[in-house]
Amino acid sequence: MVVSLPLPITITITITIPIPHPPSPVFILGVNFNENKLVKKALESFYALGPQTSARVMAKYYIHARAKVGTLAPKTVTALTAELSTMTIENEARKIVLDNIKRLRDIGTYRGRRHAMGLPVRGQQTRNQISNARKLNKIERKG
Amino acid sequence: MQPTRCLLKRSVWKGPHIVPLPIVRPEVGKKIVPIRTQARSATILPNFVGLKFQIHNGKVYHDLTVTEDMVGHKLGEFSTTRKPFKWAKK
Amino acid sequence: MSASNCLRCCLLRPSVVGRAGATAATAKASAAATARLRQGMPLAAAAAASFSTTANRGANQKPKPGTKAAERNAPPSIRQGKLFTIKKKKKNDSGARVKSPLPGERKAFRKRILLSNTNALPVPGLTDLGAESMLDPSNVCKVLSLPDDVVDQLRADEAFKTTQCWSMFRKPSILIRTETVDLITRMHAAAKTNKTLRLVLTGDRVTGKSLMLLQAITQAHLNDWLVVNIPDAQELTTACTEYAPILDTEPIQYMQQNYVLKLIQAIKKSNEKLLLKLTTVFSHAGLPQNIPIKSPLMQLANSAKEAEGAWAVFQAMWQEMTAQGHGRPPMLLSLDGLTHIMRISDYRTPAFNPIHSHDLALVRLFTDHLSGATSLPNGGAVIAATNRNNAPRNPSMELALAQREAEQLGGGKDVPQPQPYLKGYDERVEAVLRNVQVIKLQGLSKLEARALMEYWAASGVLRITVDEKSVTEKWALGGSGVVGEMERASLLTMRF
Repeated sequence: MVVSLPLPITITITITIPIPHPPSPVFILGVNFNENKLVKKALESFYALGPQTSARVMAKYYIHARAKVGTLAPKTVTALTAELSTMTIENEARKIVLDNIKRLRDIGTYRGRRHAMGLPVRGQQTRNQISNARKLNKIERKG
Repeated sequence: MQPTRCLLKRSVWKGPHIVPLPIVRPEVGKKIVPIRTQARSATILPNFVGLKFQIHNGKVYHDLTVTEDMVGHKLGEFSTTRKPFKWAKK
Repeated sequence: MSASNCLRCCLLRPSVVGRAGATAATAKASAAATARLRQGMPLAAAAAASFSTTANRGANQKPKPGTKAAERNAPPSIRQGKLFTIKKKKKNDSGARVKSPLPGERKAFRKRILLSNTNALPVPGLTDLGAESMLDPSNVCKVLSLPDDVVDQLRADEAFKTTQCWSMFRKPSILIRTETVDLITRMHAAAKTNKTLRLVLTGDRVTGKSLMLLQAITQAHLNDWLVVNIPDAQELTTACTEYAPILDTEPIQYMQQNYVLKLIQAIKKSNEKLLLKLTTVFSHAGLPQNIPIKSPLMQLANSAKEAEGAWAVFQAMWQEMTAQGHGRPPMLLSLDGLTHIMRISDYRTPAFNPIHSHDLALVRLFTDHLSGATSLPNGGAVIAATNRNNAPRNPSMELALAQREAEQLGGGKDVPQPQPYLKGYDERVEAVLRNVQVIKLQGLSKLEARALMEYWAASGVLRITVDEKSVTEKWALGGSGVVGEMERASLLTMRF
């Protein structure tokens, strides 16, 4: 039984697409996030808030792993802001790092000296590949 | 710094690395006699605070007066063993 | 040196050629060639099949020296080496910028389900399924098509999957297998006696588990059962939808309001006729809007407009749909992807402990019915299909299903036992699957395979003669009749 296939073949496809509405920003701890951003990513954008902490914070407020910022209830957003304001993140966390480096420098240790020189601190070779140390190791460290 | 960070450098059961040093408590009013030592790996203990040390760097002895901040570090950290690199001047 | 016109021979010294030419004829020819050489004739002109024509071309087409053409055509000097030039990328000068798809467009395209292809041939003599068709053993090895209104209902239930080849045929049709008749007969026997059939469809990859589930749902719709279908259990447990704790539950359970809202809408769409007919018999408190007694169930379903009150509405609907008597029809509760709800979910409690899938309220509802802890008072069926692709490791479920299957075959001693050194057995999973029926799907029989292939051929997608030989070939290629593999072997090689 041989049946010939009619050619050329055309298929018309109709798809219904959800109409996108303009994103309205959401403020968490004074920072403006696009509503399509994942909550996880939004939280992790704060300094000193990594995957572990963000997962725990999200679990605390019943936010699922793939939630977007736009879907959060206003109540949850304020709760998140309150929660984040109690944590040592951003400038406080940066200050701790700076203080530690400063302490090392002030008491005159080898590590403090290496920080000041912008060289590797933990005994790495300095012939090549010390760009990260050059970039980061400073008394007034940024980042 | 994390409070536990100092635990990470050495097993707890070992305790700090204690080296018997000829420590003599200076009498009040008298001149403090520096303690000359080559034990760079000795941990600075709280009872060292205020003492003077002379720590060997392989060639010479560097002076150090121990302050409170230095407790927990090693003596060797305060006596550099390397000469800073400089272009030779002709 | 047998080839007389070989140039290499010509280039040899005449004395060598003379020695090498064994036969008189070749000696003669090579002698002629050498004679030409001696006369100083141009080599290219002498030999018809010369291996290089560069010298010849260069000699013939020499443009006037000093012109641009001469520069362009001049052969590159030997010292220059090869030049590698990269073409400059042409900018899209037509001005039309390619627009990236809107958000959600790609996904919609990926998830689209085409159920009809106007280019496929209509199959002559294809009849629609009736309410009793799948009960009749004489219909085994026949392909029957789905009635149009049932197709709409199935679409609402999301019973069709993108991986199934519906888009190749004129009309969605299904093959009645022996297992189909077995399953449908069990469903009807249970419904007749107001009992609940609790059954798991299992089997290897692409053996037609989801399609068998679709057949069960079709049968339920054809016989005016209420149908609640969870099309992909993965959506419930992989932490991709909202969750919230339910108050006053111990241990605490979690509702998934957004998913439930979606489910209510699916139920509404697929059971429209029934929901309009049936009326409420209880009064419900705590709903988004007040529903008086004796109002149609559709009104109750319509009251769920937002995720906020969706769980309360779903509970009320469930209570109404499973009310004993009151002309309530039997019910089919089905779920695809059993593996996903038989594990610890990706959700977390506020204390960051993992939540077991069975603590999610909707999953709990299903597992309670599957285990027999609660039953459907008006009879019906609870059917789950396992999934093999994208399936999490699940030793408890595998073991329990293997045990049930062995028990059903009557093997007293051959019932598999748990491996003593294997970790990861889950008591809660075992408890759910302690007494369910199991249908293990395997390959098609040759007769079924033939019926299917004849349907393919009649639709114009399989362009070979369907006879004993070709059926056996495809049946063997498909791993002794595994239907999805047969499809791959015979249809998907033509995918366009």
